[in-house]
Amino acid sequence: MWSWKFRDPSEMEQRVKRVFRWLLVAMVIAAIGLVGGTGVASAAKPTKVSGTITVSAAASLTGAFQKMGTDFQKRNPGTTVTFNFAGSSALVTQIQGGAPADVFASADGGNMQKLVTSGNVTTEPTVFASNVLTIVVKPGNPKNVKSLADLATLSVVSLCAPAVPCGNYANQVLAQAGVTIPPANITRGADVKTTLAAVATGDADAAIVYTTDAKAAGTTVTAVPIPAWQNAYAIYPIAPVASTTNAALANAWIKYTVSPAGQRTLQSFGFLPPPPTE
Amino acid sequence: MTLDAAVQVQLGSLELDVHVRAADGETVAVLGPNGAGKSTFLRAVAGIVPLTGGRVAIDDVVVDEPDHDEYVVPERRSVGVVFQNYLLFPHLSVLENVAFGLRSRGVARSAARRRAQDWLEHVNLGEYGGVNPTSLSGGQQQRVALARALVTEPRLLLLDEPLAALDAGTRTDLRRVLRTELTRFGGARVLVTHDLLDAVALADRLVVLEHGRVAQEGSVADVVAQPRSRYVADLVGINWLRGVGRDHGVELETGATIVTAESVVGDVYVAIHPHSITLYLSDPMGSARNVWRGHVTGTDLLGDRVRIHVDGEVPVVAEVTASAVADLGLRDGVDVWASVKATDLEIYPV
Amino acid sequence: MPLVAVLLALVAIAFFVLPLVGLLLRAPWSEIWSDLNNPAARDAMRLSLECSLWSTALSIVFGVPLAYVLARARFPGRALVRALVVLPMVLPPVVGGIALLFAFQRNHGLVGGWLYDTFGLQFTFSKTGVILAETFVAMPFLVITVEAGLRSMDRRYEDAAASLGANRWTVFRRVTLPLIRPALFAGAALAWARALGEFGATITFAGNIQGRTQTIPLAVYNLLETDQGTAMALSLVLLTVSIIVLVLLRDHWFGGLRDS
Repeated sequence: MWSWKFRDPSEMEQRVKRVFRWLLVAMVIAAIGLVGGTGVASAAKPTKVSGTITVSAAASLTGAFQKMGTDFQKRNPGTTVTFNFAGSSALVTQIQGGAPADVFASADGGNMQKLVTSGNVTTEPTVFASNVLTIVVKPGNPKNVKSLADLATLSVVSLCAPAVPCGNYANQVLAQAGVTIPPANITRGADVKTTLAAVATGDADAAIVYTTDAKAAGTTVTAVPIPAWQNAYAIYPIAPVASTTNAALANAWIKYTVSPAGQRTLQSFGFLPPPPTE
Repeated sequence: MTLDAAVQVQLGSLELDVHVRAADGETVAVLGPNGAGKSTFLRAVAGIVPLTGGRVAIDDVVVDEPDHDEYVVPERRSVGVVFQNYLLFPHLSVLENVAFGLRSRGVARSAARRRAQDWLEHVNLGEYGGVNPTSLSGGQQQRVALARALVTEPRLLLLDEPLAALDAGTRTDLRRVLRTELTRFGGARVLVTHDLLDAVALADRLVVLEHGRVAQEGSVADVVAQPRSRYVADLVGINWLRGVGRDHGVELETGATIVTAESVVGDVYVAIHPHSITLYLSDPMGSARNVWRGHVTGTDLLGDRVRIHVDGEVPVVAEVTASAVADLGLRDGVDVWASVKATDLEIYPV
Repeated sequence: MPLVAVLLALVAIAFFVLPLVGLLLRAPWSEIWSDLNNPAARDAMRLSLECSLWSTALSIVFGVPLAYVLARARFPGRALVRALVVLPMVLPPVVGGIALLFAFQRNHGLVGGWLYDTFGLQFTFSKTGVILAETFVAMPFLVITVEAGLRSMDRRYEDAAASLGANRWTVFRRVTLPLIRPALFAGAALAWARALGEFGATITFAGNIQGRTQTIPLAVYNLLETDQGTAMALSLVLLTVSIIVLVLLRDHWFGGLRDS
């Protein structure tokens, strides 16, 4: 056992040097093991995935994807999934600008189409979830908002920017319902989380966000549902980005999102299943 | 328009306790070395520095008395100040500078400008009204400053080392201008200076300030003839000794005795002008009763006269002609005998 | 001149020049006018001009007296006050916006609730909020610059003015202010430039409402994904204004270098 009582300082020096030498050897072995290990492992089991991917996903997927990421990494040791959440349109700009993303998950088909057209997505996207909109107001609904029409009477309404899917959907829903909110009363958020925060922690009276966001916000907001016939139906496509360096892991993630386990998690956050393909 | 200023100010390490009176039409010079507190005194009278104790009254109206919570701000005191560095406002023209005091007191623009122009012409700067003060020479700027102070017809005129920032030639010219204006000014005037020449040329009375206290005061002639401090003695440029009178002699601290013409008793100062001292290369054996032996320790050239520092039983400075120095070969280390007639001594009680 | 110093300096220069060159080269020069002519851009420019001028005015009205007090008065806690004034300069702007929220939000704000209940005043999501946010970040620049000017001026001029019969207000108006004019001008220019460029505090506190709170920086952020042309055109507008401010301030910043 270690004892710090030495007979003279030179002996302590000797022992410290010896410790460092062993540590160095241990680190080298560990390094070799790490580097070689993955190689060895993949050589032995060709179906196992490994490595790191970056998933650029719509902000509304934040909670669900983070949980799914943890589960996926547990099921697939040796993999790392990092996330980049933002408004879908911002992600499109990033990917077109060359940002290193391996997977893109959008909150609408329009933004996915932009990447298909620009050649950043070359395989057929998969739809893995869907969502609908809801109105959120301050807890207890102090302004007594009952419908979309009531939004026009409020002093500040928070919506996503038009380029962001939830903003586009919100515009559609309002136009369809014949409701015009004066533009001077609309504050635009760069993504759905910011849009909701304006009501949850700020002074906005109401916001239009996804039901999943309302659920995630818990008691900080009160949800006022939009009748199904007035609502918009958001579909979430996902695809690997053409420039990915780990297509295997990217595709494994996409498969996971449509797998029963992934779907269970998504639905626990309030997402609806993807529309039937046939 | 009299001034009665008992000024007590505590400013940092300076403790000022000075009482100065100036009557109508009288110029009092406050003389002292740097750090004596002269400028602080002036600023206290002007109201720029508040008193910590004492009382300042202008024309019997109290303007500052801390014990009775009386304090009149500078702008209400009707005191004109001329500063050492002129302090002409650089962003205003010469004419606007001179008119400033009038405008501040509510005089209409055109009237103020007219009176300012009059004063500018009075100090011979009539064509310079439109220029920027910084383009004028030092002497011209000080004349503008004088006009600026006087145009408001103050009751009291204060001058803070008005000639100190000027070169020798300009100083002489401006001293003449000041002499004219000061005499013409009706109220009391206090002039702060470190130059004895200013005091002699411009002042009636002299107050010597040292370390925040009055060391000596009196008429200029009296102070110059009978200095009561080393500072004044050095300023006047005389030999200044102190001793105890014993019948027909004054015994100095060094033990040497100066023989006097009359009987002297008590603590006295002895003032000897350098030109009263004669130097000999050997014992003169003459009628002079005061002959002291010493050696030359230094020589200062002043034009065609030379001041010789002699160290010995009675250390003195003698003033001789340059040719005498050459003839006698007076250099450092040379042994000399210094002699002065008893009748050339100025002896006065401490 | 050591070669290493020159090389490193060249790298530094490239670091500053490249982004500007990139902006200038990629800008859609031929469509600038049409790009700037759409409602979003026009609203943004109008708002930016209005709010930045208002906040500069407020900075002057409240900042000059503050600078005067800091420079001339001696009171306990003066160092603390000066630190508080400098704080918005080092605080990340978003944090500044959040701090403003804590004070002025209708719900849970320190005085926001009271202001709304008593006067019906709401600063969040309003143009006033933009002006508040911009003043919060811009005023310190003016205060610091003017305070430095007041400290470095020769106070004896004020003594001379007082001795000539000028009361305190006249001294301030006719002597002090003119003497610190360069510092005042520089402080106002710096405050204006800072107000124009403010983003984090504005978007956090005043929100992103076109025509009401969407100043040029917010509009650029917004339009980056949808209308890059307009975004770049607006960026060029801000760049031009910044250069103008630099030119106006050249004597203040570079005057010392030009002597000798």
